[in-house]
Amino acid sequence: MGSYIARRLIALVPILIGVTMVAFLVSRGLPGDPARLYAGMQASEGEVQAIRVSLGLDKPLYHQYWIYMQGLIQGDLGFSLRTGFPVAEDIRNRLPATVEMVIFALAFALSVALPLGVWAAVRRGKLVDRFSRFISTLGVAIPDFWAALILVMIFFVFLGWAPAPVGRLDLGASPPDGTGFYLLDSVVRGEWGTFTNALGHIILPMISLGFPAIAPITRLTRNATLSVLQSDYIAFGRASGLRGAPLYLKYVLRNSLPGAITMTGLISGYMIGGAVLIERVFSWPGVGLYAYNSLERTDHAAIQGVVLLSAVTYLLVFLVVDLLQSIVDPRVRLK
Amino acid sequence: MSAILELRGLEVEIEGLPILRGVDLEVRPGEILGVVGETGAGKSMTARAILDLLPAAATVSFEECTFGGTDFIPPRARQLARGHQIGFVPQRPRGSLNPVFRVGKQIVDTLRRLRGMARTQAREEALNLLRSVRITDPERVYRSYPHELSGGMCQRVCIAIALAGEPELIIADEPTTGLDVTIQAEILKLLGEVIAEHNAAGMLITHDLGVVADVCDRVAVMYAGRVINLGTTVEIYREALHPYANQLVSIAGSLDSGGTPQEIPGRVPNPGDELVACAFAPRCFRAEDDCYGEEPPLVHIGGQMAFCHHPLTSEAVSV
Repeated sequence: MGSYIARRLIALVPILIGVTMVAFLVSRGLPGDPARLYAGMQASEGEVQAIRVSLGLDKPLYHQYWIYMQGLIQGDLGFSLRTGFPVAEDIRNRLPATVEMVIFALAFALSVALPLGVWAAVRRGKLVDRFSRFISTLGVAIPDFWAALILVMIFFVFLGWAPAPVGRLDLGASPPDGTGFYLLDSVVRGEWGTFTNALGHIILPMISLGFPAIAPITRLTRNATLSVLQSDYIAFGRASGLRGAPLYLKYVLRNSLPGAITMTGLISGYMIGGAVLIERVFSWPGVGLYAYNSLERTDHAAIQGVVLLSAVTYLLVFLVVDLLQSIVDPRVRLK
Repeated sequence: MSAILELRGLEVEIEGLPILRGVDLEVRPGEILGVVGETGAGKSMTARAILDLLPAAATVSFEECTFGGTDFIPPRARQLARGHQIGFVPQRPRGSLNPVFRVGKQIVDTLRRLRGMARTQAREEALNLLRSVRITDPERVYRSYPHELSGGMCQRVCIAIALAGEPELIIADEPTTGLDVTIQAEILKLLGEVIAEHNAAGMLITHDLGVVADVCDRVAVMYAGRVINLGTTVEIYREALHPYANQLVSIAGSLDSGGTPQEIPGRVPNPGDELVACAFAPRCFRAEDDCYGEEPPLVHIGGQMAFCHHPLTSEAVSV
């Protein structure tokens, strides 16, 4: 397995080089002049030109790309003109917020979708099955950011159960030291007040981001389960006295998982790169919000960094998906 | 000798089509009952009805169904018997083991479920079971996934699982389907031996009369959803009362001796086909008018019983 992972990682390099080119070109194609935005509206044309030269924006594109790649090889993603920090550092500071939210959203989606999918298949055509179809339709029909706004309206504005959508903690609360994963850090440090605070803040983003994922995972699980239920091994299991929860949640579900795993991989890749709108609604200081703000300011290095991160995430997620498939089903061979 | 499993008047309908039309049979302690018949005769359906494993669309009714003296008519009783009182050996053994779990785990899970064993104890017992089905390297098989084993080996594992709950009856449904001929013989011999070793009884469903001759004490011959002839293996082979059973035996005999079998004209009726009083009458060389008009009577001769107007003997006594 080790050599398999190594080979897969090496195969990523040419793909990533391609991604850098695309990201580079796309960010140059954005409207807006970063030098002007950086210099400010009051700056004279001469000052802007000076900045342009100092940023290397006067050089031809291939030259700029060459400079970018030279830095990238050394792990230097460039400076953000907007924040004034190295992009790598910006991303490192914001990634835990996004990853924490994505993990919660996936856990939420899977804990609903897997049992629901199995249950709907077992009671095919019955009430649960129809309910699962209703949920699926809803998940497809409702955009996540809209769900987020509605949830905020109901649970914060009307009911007052949820905290204000102003980030990961109440305003003024200080984050726990450590990895940047607040829930993890606060548990490790035993700061229970911080923990409940962070937990309260993550619930609505978790639901908004996770809800649309329930639909495809439920459907795949349901369909896979339908064919598993017809299998000889389930018939034999039943004839050997297997039934109830152990039958469905262990023997059946394990065989229904492959489709759900692939789908979850796809979705999680999307979530890491695409939680932009959810982060915007909840002022969640993650990578998505960073990408959003960088786009507004035509912040080349930051945009390239986020695109690259998103690509790397996708590719790694697919590697993990393949590894998981081989663990879940021993007949899957890694080549 | 009182029967361990006794069935009277088992009827099964699926979506209005009669599949079983009054199956009567009994399995006695220590014996292996062969259930034979062509595809569609209702052999597997009978087994599935006993374990309440019929599709949801099926309606089942019994006149009588007892197991070891307890009433088996309530579906719950039959469900609870799965694995405990009744062990089941499937057809297509390779597909019958769960592909994503190691063999050992599947046996251990069964032991924990059926006998409430602790993990370490179950592991020991699982290895014992693998040894008891004559697996020479139980440790390796224990660690294997089903796709790493041969069909014969998978069937041994299935038999081990069937034995796990210390059942009093083992139902084997075409246990040699899809196995090599040499392996088939081994599996059948093994089944006969383990049933005897565990003081259990057996019910062996097959369409192969040669199989029956090798391991069964008595034979039930099914046709169109009924047991039409039942007797000891010797009786059925030498002097089957029912013309259908008689012809099946002679076909099997001529196949064994390399001759050309005399085939039975016509075809097996499908569920839902219009049946005459004796379902076999249209194909029967002894059929007369009464076979078409009146239900065939139950005839007892020696240890045999048959539903036939014109059984193949002069001394038949109608009951």
